[in-house]
Parts: sequence; C-alpha cells; structure tokens
Amino acid sequence: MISLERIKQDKYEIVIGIETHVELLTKTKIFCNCSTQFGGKPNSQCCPICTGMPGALPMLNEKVLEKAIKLAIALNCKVSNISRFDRKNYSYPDLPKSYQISQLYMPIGRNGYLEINNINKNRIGIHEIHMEEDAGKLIHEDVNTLIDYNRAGVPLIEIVSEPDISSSKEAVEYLEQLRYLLIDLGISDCKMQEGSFRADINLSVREIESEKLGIRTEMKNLNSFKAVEDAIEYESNRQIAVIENGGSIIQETRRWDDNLKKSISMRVKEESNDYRYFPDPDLPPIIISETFINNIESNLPELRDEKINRYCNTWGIPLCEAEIIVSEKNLAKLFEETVKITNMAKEVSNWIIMDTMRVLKDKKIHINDIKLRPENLAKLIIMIKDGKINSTIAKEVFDAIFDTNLDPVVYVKENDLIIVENKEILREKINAIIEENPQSVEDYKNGKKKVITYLIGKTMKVMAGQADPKKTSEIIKEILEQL
Amino acid sequence: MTSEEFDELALKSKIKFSDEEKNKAIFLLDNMLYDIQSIENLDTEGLDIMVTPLQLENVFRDDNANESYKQKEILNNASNINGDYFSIPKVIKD
Repeated sequence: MISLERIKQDKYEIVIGIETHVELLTKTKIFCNCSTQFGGKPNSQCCPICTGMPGALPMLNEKVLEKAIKLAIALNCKVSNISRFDRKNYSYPDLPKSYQISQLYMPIGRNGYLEINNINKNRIGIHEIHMEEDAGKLIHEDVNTLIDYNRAGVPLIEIVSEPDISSSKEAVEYLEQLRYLLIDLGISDCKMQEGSFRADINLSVREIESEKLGIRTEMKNLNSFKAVEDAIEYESNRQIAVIENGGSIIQETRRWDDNLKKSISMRVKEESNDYRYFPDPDLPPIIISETFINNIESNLPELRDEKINRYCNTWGIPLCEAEIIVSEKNLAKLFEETVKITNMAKEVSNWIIMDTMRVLKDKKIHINDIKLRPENLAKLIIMIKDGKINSTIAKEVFDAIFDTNLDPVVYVKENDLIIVENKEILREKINAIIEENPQSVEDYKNGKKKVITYLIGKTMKVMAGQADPKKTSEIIKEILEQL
Repeated sequence: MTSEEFDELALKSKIKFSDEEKNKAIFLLDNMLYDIQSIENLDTEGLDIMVTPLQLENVFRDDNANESYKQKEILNNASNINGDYFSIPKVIKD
C-alpha cells in the first residue's frame, strides 16, 4: 500500500493563503478614547461608542491610520488615495453593535508582497491590508457565556496574503517575517499568547498541474507557530484522505484543537457568511495625499532585511550570525552600539552569538532584561585586544558583569585579574622559580629548549594565570642566556 | 421581495414578525426597492464613484486616553450580569 505521505508528495500540492490580524500598539481604541491596556478589570475600559450604544459617534484614531499606511508601504502595497470604512453585519454577542466596522470596498493598501527568504527572495503576494475593530471576549461557562468588552474596539490591521504559500514551512517563514516587520515598525507587539498576532489559515489541496483550485477550509485558533505547522500538516492530510477515499471537501470554518492535534468543524451555517457590507455613514472618507504618504515613508525605521544586509556588507558578519543578532531588537542594539565604540564587529558578534546567548540560557535571563551596557562590553573587548586580560579571564569577567553591568576595568582591578605586564615583578618571580629548578638550567644549556614551556607553565601557576605569556617567555629566555 | 427572501433577512436581523407584520413589511420594502430601482436605472457611465454624500473628510482624533465609563455604568443596563461580566445564555454547544 502506498503511504499517504507518498501520495501527498507525488500527486498533490497544497495551496495556502493566510489572514493575519494584528492588534496595534496604540494607547486608545480605534474609534474612541478608551484605553487598550491588556489585562484590565473586565468591562472597565468601555464607553458608549465601543459598546454600541445608540447615537454614539465613532471617530478614527489618527495613529491607527499612520500605522496602517506604514505597514502598507513596508509590504510594498499601493496605498489608497481614498479609503473608507464599511459595516460588516453579523449578530454575535462579542460584537455589541451587531456589525463590525471594517474595510471591504476601499482598503488602505492593495497588491503588495513580502519576501520571506533572504537567500531565495521568495515573494508572497499581499492581496490587501485593511483597518478594523476587534470584538469583545467571550468566556463560555457551564450554563452561561460571560462577556468582556474591553477588547471591543481595539484597533486591528488585517493582512490578507495571496494563496502563494505551498507548505507549512513556508507558512511559518511568512508569519515569522511578518512578525519581525510589525515589531520593527512599532506597529504591534505581536504576542500570540495574548492574541495580538492571530493567523487564520485558508487551505486547499489540488492535484499537481491542475488549473482549478480545490475547495478550501479556513482554520482558526492557532496560538503558536508550532500550532500553525501542525495544523497545516493535519488539515492537508485530512483533505487528501477525504479526496482519495472518493469524498469531497466542504467549504467550512474549522477550529484547531492544539491538545487533540486536530481540526474540528465549527459547523457554521453557510448563510451566516452573508455579511451585507455597506459603507459606514458615521465615518467620513479618508483622503490620503502623496505628501502624507511620502512623509511616513521617509520616516520608516531600518527594516530587518536592510539591517542584515548592512551587517553582512559593511561589517563582514556572516549571514547566519547577522540573522540571530537582528532577530531581537535588544541584541541588535547591544551589537551596534558596541561596534560603534570598538570598531571590532567580528569580535562583538562573537561575544553576542556565543557568550551572551550562553549566559542568557544558563541564568534564564530574558533578552529584554539584559543589564550589560554596550560601553562595558566594549571595555572588555578592548582589554583583551590590549592584552590586559586573556580570553579565559575575559569569560569569567563577562559572566560576572553580564547581569550586574559592573565596569569590567574596575572588576578586573578589584579582583586582581590583570595580566602582569610589569617586567620587574615578572623577573622577580621567574628568578625564584629558576632557582627552585636548577635542573632546568642544565637542561637548557644541553640544548633542551622545551624547558622554556615548562617554566612558562610554572610561572603561570605561581601568577594564577595572570602573567602575559609573551613577556614571560622573553624574560625566561633572557635569564637562561645570562646564566 | 419573496416570502423566503424576507424570512432570510428577518433571521439575519434576528427580528420575529407575525404574519400580519410580515405582509405589511414586504409591501413597504417592495416600495423602497422600487424607488431604489429608479436610481439604479440612471445612466452613470463615465462618472466618478461618489465615495460619500457628506462634505466632510479626514475627521481624526488624537491617540490620548480618556477616563472610560465606570464599570458599574456600563453594566447598569444589562438584564443579567455575573461579577465583572455581562452574562448571557451559553452561545456554543459543547
């Protein structure tokens, strides 16, 4: 019997489009002045506008528009010169007005793309991005459903990809790349667990080289990248099995159950998907001038890919190292500022990739809680360069100053860790060592040069590793020659 | 408007009608649709889409948080509450 995995590989291709909802980092909701702070007491961040009281008049938060345009530009979209809000009508208790203010006819951006691979430059099309309001939160208990409207009206941007994604790996790459972009642009904190970055997967399968798309299902409730990966594997296998067994796929919404590792039909009646959209008469249209767009464009921060290129091209950092450093804002900041002081990019990169990561893991410190300042990391690196400490001692110093941000120069002095360079001190110690080892003098005179290494070892032991090896060797030779 | 179309619209709007109300409503809606039809028949060839009949555009507010309503005020009109929450009959089946 041919395995499903084999049939999947040889006969079918998977077609995936992703709708991503992100909650924006604004202080207030999209159409009213209520706070968006996460975790507030239920129903304490509400007003007549976000709870849909009759006669309340919504007004757009300018920061939401700015962030949406920023994202549209970064995703290479055509920014609409005229944009407008529409009402999406459906009755569900999380939506107090019985309609969601969204954008259907004139979204803020269209026809963009996102590059998801630094090497292949694989482009995933962006169909559109639009602004909308979030719904409230429902908590289902035994008999009742409880409602918290604090989240109702929190600004969202929805990013709709083209069905250009063909595997779980590609889907995760797309989402990771999008997440980096949103964080870099300061649009969202993208915390999947808190629901500020949510992806719905539209998936269908079709026989390879078939022109026609298969019937798709939509999957919701994916709370991690791992869940996205598992859900795509499960759902594509399920669809192929249905088709192989002579059945057909039903267009439906399915809920991913991460504990059971399967998708479950939500059995939503087809008719409920008739949203009867129409322009929202409460919100006047948005006219966006080229000047406004250009102004936002010229103030865009440096994006991840540009940063990676700069690290590789200007500073000669290998791509894999640049990717790790750039993946976290704090690491990139520590790296760049330390390089600015030392001008030693490769060394700084090593300290970040090897030692910073090691200590973070060992001491279970979060990247955002790094105390070490660039100036102190720079001092440490310069001390090594100047031969004041060796690499073994440097590691010890690094571990000690990492979560205290002590000045490494002070630390080294206070703990007597500086390599002894003072020739007089060294000469005194070495003289004593040679006196205690008369045999070594004999050996040297008999041509056994190896004895120098032996004496360096002895000196290091006496000096607890703090002697400068080069100078130690010079002095030993000098003394032995004179004897 | 057919009786079935009306029933579907009523269902989506979550409104119950008696037979008498339904007949009256269909009559009124048919009249409205008739009027709209005469607008639809206008020749709009070559005209720009009117985005809005309003004279206003770009009405924005600053992103500054105001004090929200007190939780008590927000929950005040609800027929059923449970602690900090609105409470309604369960909306999903187990």
